Amino acid sequence: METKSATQNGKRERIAILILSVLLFVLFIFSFVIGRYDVPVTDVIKILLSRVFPITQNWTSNMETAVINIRLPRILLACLVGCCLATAGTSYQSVFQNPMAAPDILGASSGACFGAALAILFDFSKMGITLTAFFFSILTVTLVYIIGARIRGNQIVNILLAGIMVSSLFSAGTSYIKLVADPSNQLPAITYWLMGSLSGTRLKDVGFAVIPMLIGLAPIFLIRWRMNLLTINEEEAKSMGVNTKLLRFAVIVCATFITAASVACSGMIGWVGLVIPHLSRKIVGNNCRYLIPASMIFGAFFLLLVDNISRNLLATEIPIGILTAFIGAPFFIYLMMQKENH
Amino acid sequence: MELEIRNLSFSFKDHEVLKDVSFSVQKGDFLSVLGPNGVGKSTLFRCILGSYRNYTGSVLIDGRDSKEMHPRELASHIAYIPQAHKPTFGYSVLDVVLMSAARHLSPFSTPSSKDTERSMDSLDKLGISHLAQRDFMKLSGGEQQLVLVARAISQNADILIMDEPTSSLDFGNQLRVLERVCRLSEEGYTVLLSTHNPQHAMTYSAKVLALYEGSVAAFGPSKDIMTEDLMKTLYGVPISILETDKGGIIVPERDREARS
Repeated sequence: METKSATQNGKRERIAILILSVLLFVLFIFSFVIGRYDVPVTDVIKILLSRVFPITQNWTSNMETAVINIRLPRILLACLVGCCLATAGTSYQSVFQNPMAAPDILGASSGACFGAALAILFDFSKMGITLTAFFFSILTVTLVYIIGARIRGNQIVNILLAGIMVSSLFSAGTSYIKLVADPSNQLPAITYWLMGSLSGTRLKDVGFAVIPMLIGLAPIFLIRWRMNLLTINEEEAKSMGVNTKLLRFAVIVCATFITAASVACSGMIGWVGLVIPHLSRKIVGNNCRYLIPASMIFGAFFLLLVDNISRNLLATEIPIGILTAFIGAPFFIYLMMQKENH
Repeated sequence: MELEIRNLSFSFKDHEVLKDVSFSVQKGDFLSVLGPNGVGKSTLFRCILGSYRNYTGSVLIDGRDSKEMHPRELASHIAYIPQAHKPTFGYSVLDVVLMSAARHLSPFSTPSSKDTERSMDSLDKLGISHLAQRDFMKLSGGEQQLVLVARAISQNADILIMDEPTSSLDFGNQLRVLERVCRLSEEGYTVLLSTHNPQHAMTYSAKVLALYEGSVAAFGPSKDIMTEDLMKTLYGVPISILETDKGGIIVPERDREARS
C-alpha cells in the first residue's frame, strides 16, 4: 500500500496537465477557424501542415493569408504572453510567499507603460516602443531590487514596499507624459497601448518576443521543484542546504524578464497573472513541480480564449486588457468567497 | 558522530547573548536544553545550524569545524526541526518530507521515485505513513511535528535539532512526540531539544544543558544535575523535586498554610 501511494504520487497532477494540454491544442486549432474571414477547420489543418509537409494546395490564397499572416502570429503571441504572465505570477507568489503577488508587483508593468508612453511621445516606431518598454520595465525592477536590498530588515517585505513606491513614481511619470502628449494622435495611442492589445501582431514581432520569453521561461521550468523551498521558512530551507538568496534572485530575474517581454509587446494585460496561478493551484495543488507547467499551459489557454472573444465578440475589437479585467476580477471575487466557505 | 561546541560566544550588536558555551554530545545522546526565556537557546541552535556565522569559538562535527563545511554538507549532518512550520501554500505531507531531497539534488532536477521511497520510509519509521497524501496544514500539531521529524530523518542527518517542539502541543501530543524522539535517540540519532518544561528533560532525556544569562549553568546527566537549586536559579521560583519509583517529579513549592 505504501509503495503504491509512493509511485502514484503526482499521477493525478500529471493527468490534469495532460488534459489542459489537449484543451489548449483544441482551442489553438479552433482559433484559426473563427474570425471575419471563414476558413474551414480541415483547410486550417492542411494549411498549417503544408508548412512542414508537401501538400497540394486546394485552398484559396486568401485563406492562407488569413491563417498564416494574420491569425498565426496573433494566436502564438496570445499563447506566449498568457504563458509568461501566468508563470511570472506563480513565481512571484512563491518568492514573496504572498498569494496576492502578481507580475506587476515589482513595477515591471508600470515601468513598461512609462517606457511605451515615452516612446510614443517621441514618435518611435512600433519596434522602438516595444524595446523602450522592455528596457524601462527591467530598469524599474532593478531599481526596486536595489532599493529593497538597501533597507534594513525583512528583505521580502522591503522589496515589496520598494515595488509599490517605485511603481507609483513611474505611474506618475506616465500621467505626466499623457498630459503633455499631443491629444490628437499621441494621447489616443498611449491610452490604447495602456489598455493592452494583441491586434496587428506580425510574425516578426513574435520571433522577436519569443527569445527573451524563452530565456526566462526555461530556467523557471527547470528549477520549478526547488522553488517550493522558497515558500517555506527561510531558516528551514537553509538548514536543508539550500542557497535561498541565490535561488530567490534567480527566480526574480527570470520572472521579471518574461513579464517585461510580455508587457512590452502586448501592453497592460492585467489579472492573468493573478487569476491563472490561483486556478492552477485549485487544479494541481501548490507543488511547483506541477504548478508551474499547469500555469504555463493554463495561462496560454486563457489568454488565447480571451483574445478570441476580444476579436470576435463585437464588430470593433475590444482591448484585451479590458476583457481580462472584466472576466478576471469577478472570477477572483468568486474564488475568494469559495475559500471562505472552506 | 560527535558534536562539540567549544568556547562559543555570540553577540547581537553590543549585547552578548552567549558567553563561552562549551559542551559535547555523542551518537545516541538525547540532550535537553533548559533555560529561561531569552537566554539564548534559539541563538545557540542557530549558531550550530550555521545560520549565524559571526560567532567566536567553534562548532565541531567529528572534530571538523562546521564553518569549513558547505551548507549542503552541513545539512547531511545536522537537521533542523522548527517549532511550527507554517507554509503560505498548503502541501501534502509527502511533498513536505520530499523537500529534504533538496540537499542532494542538483538545482535543475526533481525528486525521483527513489527519493519518494526514502521519504515514505522515514514516514514509516515514525509510524505516520498513512498520512502521506494528507494536507499538511490540516494535521494536528503533534502530527505536524512528527512529519517535520520525518523530513529531518530523510535528510539523512544524524543530529536533530528541535527548537521547543512541544510548546504548542496538547498534553497527549507532547508525550507522543517526545516518546518518538526518545526512540530515535535509542536508534542512534543525536537529539538536541530545547524545552520550557523541565519535567520533559527529567523524564525523557539522558543529558541536560542548563543555560543561565548566556552561560552554561550546568551540563551533564539529568539525574545528577537536575537539582532543586538549579531549577530555582533558572526559573526564579521555589521548586521541589520528588523522587519516586517512576523517576523524579518536579512540582512547584507552594505555601499552602499561608493560602488557607
